[in-house]
Amino acid sequence: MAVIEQPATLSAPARPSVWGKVTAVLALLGRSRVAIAGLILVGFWVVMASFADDCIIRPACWMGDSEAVSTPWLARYSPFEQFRGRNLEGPSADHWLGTDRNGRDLWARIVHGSRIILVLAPISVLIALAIGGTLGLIAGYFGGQIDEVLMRVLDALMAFPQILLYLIIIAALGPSAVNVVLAITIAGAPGIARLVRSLTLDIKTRDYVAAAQTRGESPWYIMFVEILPNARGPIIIDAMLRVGYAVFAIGTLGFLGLGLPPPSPDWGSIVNAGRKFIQAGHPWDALWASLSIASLVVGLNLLADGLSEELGRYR
Amino acid sequence: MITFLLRRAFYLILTLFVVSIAIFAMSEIAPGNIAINSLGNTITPAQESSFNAQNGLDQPAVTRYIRWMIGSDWRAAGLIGHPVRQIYEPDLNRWSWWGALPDGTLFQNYTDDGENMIRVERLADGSTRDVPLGPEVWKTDAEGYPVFWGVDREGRAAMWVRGDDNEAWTLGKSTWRSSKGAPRAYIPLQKGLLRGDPGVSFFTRRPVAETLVPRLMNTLLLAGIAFVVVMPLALALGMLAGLNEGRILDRILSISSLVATATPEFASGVFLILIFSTWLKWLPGAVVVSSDTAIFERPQMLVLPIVTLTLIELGYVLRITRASMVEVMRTNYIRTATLKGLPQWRIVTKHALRNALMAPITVIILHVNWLIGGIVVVETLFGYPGLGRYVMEAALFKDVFAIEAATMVLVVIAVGTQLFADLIYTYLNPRIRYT
Repeated sequence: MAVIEQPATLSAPARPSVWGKVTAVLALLGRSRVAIAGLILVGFWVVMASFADDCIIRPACWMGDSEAVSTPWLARYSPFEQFRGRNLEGPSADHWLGTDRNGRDLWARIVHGSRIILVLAPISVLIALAIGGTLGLIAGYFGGQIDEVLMRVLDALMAFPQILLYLIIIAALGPSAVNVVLAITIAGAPGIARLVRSLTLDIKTRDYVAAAQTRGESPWYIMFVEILPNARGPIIIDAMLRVGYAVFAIGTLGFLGLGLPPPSPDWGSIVNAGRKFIQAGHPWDALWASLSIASLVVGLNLLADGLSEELGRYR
Repeated sequence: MITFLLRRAFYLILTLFVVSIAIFAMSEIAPGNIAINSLGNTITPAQESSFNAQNGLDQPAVTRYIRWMIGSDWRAAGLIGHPVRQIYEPDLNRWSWWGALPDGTLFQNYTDDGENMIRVERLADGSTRDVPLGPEVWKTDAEGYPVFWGVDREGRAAMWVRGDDNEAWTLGKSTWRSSKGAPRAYIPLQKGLLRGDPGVSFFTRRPVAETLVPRLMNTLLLAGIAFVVVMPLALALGMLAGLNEGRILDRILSISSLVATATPEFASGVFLILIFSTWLKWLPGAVVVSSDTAIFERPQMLVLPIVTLTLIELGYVLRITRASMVEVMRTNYIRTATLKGLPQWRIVTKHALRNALMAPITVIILHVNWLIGGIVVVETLFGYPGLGRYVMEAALFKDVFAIEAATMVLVVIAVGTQLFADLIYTYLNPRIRYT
């Protein structure tokens, strides 16, 4: 991570402000054309997801119970509104991307789909970070038998091809947003635990950890206050890549029919429903949803790639 | 070296053991009702408990795990007092379990009234004959009940209790049938995964192994071809990019490989179908398999699935190869070779190649986990009858035994290739110590 030098004043401790950090990261991104391209792609979908309808200014709507009364902004229509007699149409002035088999506007569905994926993916990565990070800290810091047992179990989970984990979990629990998040968390946590463990093993030997131990700090204090903040760089890069994987995974699950149940405008589900109409001369559902997910995942990867490259150069 | 191998093999078995427990726990113990998933949510509690008893789902998890792994026929044989055997009935086109008398006669049992046990003996021509058994067959069990262990007409080991009018529900062709004089307890007969019998699918009522093996073969064919295509292509392009580091060719290859790898398989598959099948009409957009040899008669069906798999794998291997090549080209011995005045092609082929290929080759093999993910999606998208689509459909229909078996097979493949990658790596790199 970039370290910002600020002049130390008498009143405030010499720490970089949040805003300073943000501008520093943006400045870093600005140097890489790859990262800018990624930022544009991801930014496009973030804007679409945020301003699809007026949800963002009405907190009641965040709970998801007043879907029907929200006023569409960028989405132009509700993703559930069915236009009578306008099924399976191609792009037109009324319906920019066409309509699906139930006469629903594809643009509205795609835009609302971005909201689903952009909420679920970071949430699942954050939960995986919390669980995997804690396990990794425990295994790395305590070592010994705990480490051995934890790592055996996590190795076994990592031996799984991830898709199989998703399939088993969703098959056992049924498809829903919560279970999709759960599946991605369980699949992602072991990898994070491994990374955090190796970082912990390294940082554990530093002097400031020894100092904290001499002071008589509790192991939990040392793990979360001394070790974790000093391991953040690689963890953040890894987490960014993982958001990309999570988007990928949510799309794949939707495509396999194991994602969010209909009628939710999940991109993977739209491709799955739309691919039946490709041969019938209506490729639009599958095409737009595929393009959307491809652009978002590619954007996230370009962003992470450009950022890690720039960081590598910075060091 | 031997210790190293033994150690690796031990960890492999340990990992597989933990994996099998995880698979079992997630698919059978997890909340979610197998009876309702298999039979629909209109069943009555009586029907549900009948179903659970008949399929051994009411037994403790440890018993069920043991049955899944090493079978239950040996346990049942001990209770019945005769060995049990699985035979194939060609006229009914199914596998069924029978008890075997000392003279080799196969039998099953039933009773209509809970009093008179009847032994159905199977004759050589496949027909059956009922032999009534006397009251002496009832044995008193540990709790003082007169019980009889036999094989019921559905091919399960079962315990009848004398004078019992227990009612059982079975799902016939389409209606529920209730029958009196049913057994009190069942042990579903199974040879177990380790002996090649992962159970009977709740969904198709066919042995899982029967469907799984041909599906596995199809998948190995698809993955094998994809592998043969990807390997040389990715290595060659990766080295090309690595040798031209920072130039325009490198930028193009790097960025396009990133895009190809990041695009989900179903999205790139849809693009390919739209371009080559719908628009240009060059290739079929789906794999239609009407017979066992259909794949070989129309190999063009395989082109799009293979290209889709290639795209996603290509980028990853290419990037690894490129990074490895770049690293090797910066080493001192390459600089020495350059300073010696050796021609560039000679430096590359003679000095750089072997070292640069070490990382990618192991990475390719370790990448099998991702390949499996790709295979599930590609097989589903193109309708290819492989193991990936099988496991996907099993998950969709909650076909527990099918998921368990197919996942285990895929995990064994994944873990086995990881061991293989380790061995190759130690072989290629003599600096690795065998610890």
